[in-house]
Amino acid sequence: MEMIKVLNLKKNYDDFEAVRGIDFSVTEGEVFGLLGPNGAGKTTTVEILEGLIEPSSGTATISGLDVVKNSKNVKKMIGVQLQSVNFFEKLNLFEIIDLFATLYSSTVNPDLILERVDLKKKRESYFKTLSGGQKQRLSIAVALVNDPKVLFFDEPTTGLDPQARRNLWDLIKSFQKEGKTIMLTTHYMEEAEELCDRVAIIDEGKIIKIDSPSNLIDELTLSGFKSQKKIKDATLEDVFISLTGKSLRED
Amino acid sequence: MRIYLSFTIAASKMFFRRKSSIFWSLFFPVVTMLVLGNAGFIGYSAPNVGLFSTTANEIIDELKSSKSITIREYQSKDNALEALEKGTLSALITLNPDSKFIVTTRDGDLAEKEVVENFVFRIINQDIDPINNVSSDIAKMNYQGYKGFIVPGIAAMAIMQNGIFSVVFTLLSYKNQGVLKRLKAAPISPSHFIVGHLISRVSIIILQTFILLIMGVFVLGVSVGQGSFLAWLNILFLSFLGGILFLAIGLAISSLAPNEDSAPALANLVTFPMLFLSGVFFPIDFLPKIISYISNILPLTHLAEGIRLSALYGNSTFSTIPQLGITFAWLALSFFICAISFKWE
Repeated sequence: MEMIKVLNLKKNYDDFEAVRGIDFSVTEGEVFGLLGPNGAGKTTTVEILEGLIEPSSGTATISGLDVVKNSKNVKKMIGVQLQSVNFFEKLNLFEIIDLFATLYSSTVNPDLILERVDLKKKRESYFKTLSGGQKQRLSIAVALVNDPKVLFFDEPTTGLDPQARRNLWDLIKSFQKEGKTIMLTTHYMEEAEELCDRVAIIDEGKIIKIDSPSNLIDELTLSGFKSQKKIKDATLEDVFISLTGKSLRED
Repeated sequence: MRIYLSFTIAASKMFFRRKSSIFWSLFFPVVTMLVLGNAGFIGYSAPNVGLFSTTANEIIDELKSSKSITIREYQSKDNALEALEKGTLSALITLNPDSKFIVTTRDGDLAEKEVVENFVFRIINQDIDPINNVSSDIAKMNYQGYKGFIVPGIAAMAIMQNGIFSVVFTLLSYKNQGVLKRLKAAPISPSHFIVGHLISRVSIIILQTFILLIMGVFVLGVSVGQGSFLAWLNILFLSFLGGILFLAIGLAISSLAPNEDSAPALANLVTFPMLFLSGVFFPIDFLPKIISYISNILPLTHLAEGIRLSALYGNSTFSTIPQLGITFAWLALSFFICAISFKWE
């Protein structure tokens, strides 16, 4: 079943075309990645789907509901983690989750959500005292209050250390196991390779290619491409993790 | 309904957890009020003497040309007595048709009585017998000196400052941090957040007003409300109305400001003139005419006047209709600006 469907979507800001007519669809339970350089139109596309900005033309639906005409109902069934978001400074984590649960008319127990993202110990802390990874996990926790069908993650691991990043990958994989549909933007190719079933490569507001990461790699190598670098059996990140361990450092 | 309540509770928690908001909305006005109230500026009650005369007399010109005392002429005795009660006059000289003078001073103001009587004697003694022509009259009045003036003034000032700055600074910081954007992604309308925030701030503003007035009663010994329950009720109404008004002005400022740096500057530009032209620290009765026109259209003037009338004279009428009219006009204008230009990001 198609969970997200985007048809000829465009967004212009004055005379700048941020998104120039893109089409894609995401099936239920899939992890779909939007990859592209800065300014390619990733965040604009995601924010249109989240109902934060209106498209100039074209349509987008989530679970059959138009994101513009049915904005409120769409918002009720999606979970949103925005790029570089902050929360109320003088509310503790429990209160933040509790407040957002009310906004989504949800009766979920905030402690269970905090436990899910491994922040139970921090329930009395203020947002600004959290580390970068913890802030991202809180942002994800807030996205979970309405038990959403679809989750949007906009550059969730930017600026995190390798341990925190892997921790977040595990969390995202656990959502996929539950059957949630996930749409993710990232700059990190290894992240897309690790998490995404399919990726769309987007540049200057247009989608250049959509396929699974392994198909895209095969296509490139079949065309005769050879990596300049000799590929070894381990990466420097593997070395780093094996030396420093997988455990999170911030808690 | 639950959403409004949650936002109201959250906004109130955040207010009381922030030390700077407690400092600026409670500690700072309380200290200012106590310091000014105790200083009891002597100059406040000395310089102005009212003059009411029903006949033309050359002595009047002589009185008016005096440099040692400022004479203000009144067309009605009631207005003059009201000014004496409010403290804008320290004494009133009445010249009756039979050419007899009456010097009216407030109950207990012996120094003023003596100074003004001597002044009148000195002016007239070349021509006429002062003893038979000058009599004195002690008016029993509820005049509480400068502290009686400053307590309601500071209460009004604090309503304005809290109303405008709590909106400008908090909305601005939520906006800059992307908090508002995250709220926009939730299935609620913007009004939930704004209304919750406003309910919380209005309640805090009312609380703050009563704390200030009660401090005035117990620490400065000012008598507030004159035993009239309706006067206190009127103060409650005025602080509610004033709170809504200045919160709306704060919202309008944050909507109009082109960027984050200009909003606090714009807020200061709005509040600063009102501090001096609205009768918070000193009466506006004798401001130059052109400035008094400006004073009379400023909302803080009417708020300060309304609270002062209720506090000092137990006035329970909801101020006067034209004054309320000006307040509501400002309110409508502010809401109009917010409605057309409020942005989440």
